[in-house]
Amino acid sequence: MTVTEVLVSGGFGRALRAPGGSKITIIDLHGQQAGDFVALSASDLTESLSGAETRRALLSLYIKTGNLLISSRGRPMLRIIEDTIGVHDYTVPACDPSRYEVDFGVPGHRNCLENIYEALKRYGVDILEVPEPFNLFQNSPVTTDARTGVVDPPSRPGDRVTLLTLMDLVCALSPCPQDIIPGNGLVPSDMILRVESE
Amino acid sequence: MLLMKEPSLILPPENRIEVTGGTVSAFPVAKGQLLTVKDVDGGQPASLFGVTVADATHFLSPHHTRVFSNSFILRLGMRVVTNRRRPAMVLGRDTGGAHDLLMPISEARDGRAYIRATDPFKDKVRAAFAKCRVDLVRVPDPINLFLNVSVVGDGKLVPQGVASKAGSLATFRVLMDLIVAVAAPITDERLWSKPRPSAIDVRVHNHVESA
Repeated sequence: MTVTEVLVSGGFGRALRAPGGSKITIIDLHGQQAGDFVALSASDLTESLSGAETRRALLSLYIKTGNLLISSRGRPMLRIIEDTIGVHDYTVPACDPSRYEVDFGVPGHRNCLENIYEALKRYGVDILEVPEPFNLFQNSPVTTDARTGVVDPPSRPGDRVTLLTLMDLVCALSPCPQDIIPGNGLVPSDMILRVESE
Repeated sequence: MLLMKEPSLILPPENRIEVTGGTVSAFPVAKGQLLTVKDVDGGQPASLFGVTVADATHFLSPHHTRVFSNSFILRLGMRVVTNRRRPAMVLGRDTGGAHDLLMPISEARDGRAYIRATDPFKDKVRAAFAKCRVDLVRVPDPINLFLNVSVVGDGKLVPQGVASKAGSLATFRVLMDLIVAVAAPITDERLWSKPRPSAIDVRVHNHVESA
């Protein structure tokens, strides 16, 4: 058994390789922290985890233990094998420079898109190839009439999600740096990204 | 035409494009023009893509459009925004009834079992943009006009088929110079059923037509 574990500082990003058959665990260390997670096929970076394909397969806005998460080519890429919280989002794009500059008048803010890109570029991923994220622990409830809004996550310290990889992957995690509106309790905090493989 | 204090926009000529069933067509649309997408025979969704003339990495995004308006579906009066959160067009008239911002379109699957290595639908989208000298780095996810996928309170997504009847249309006021692509995709039995794809009529026009 090989275990690779990184502490991902709140508002920053890290990436790891995860061979097929390994387990990826994401832990919310302090609670109320959303983590933007992406995965790409290690053998072909143009194939990535896809929210749109997963929605078509699951016919649900939410994911739960046992669900298969689907790639941009329609192939199962990950299976959720453990989830202590059951509240996640995969509809909201990664926050990016324009999120802070256009919506809040704050240019230069840290953001998930660039965090993920900075973590993945050593694997040869261009910023334009960063896929839409799965926002673990993010709380985006359906409100009335097919509307939504992001509120703080209900996750507690130590809540975790474990994903079984169904192909060789590179993956990245960005504990979201959003500290202006609800989403992380206004205080970005650290997470663990762990890969366990035989 | 936009009613500006100091009129400066000179709009290009109007255009009409018939997108035959199963094909994709791309064409320019200028800031201030109107884009009308019509389901000719009914029961046919139209997938909408767009990139800015200035920068092909700046494109229409269903994901940012949802978040920009806190809505899982496209509604009358909503702004369609880009991946940089800039308003690119507004849905100003709608007789289509429902529009999807959540689902993919693909021709790579055959039922639920067989997946081709490449996706002919994405290849068609790329080829259509290439005819307008746009080289896509990746094909964005589509905005699926007339496709009706209900969102219920517990997050379930319930495909309801295609909302449009013969002649149903959606008209957008365009706010950026764009290259737009419209597709009339083949059926996806999981989302809608139509034995043969039918035509989508597209008009790029400079004046509002009488309802």
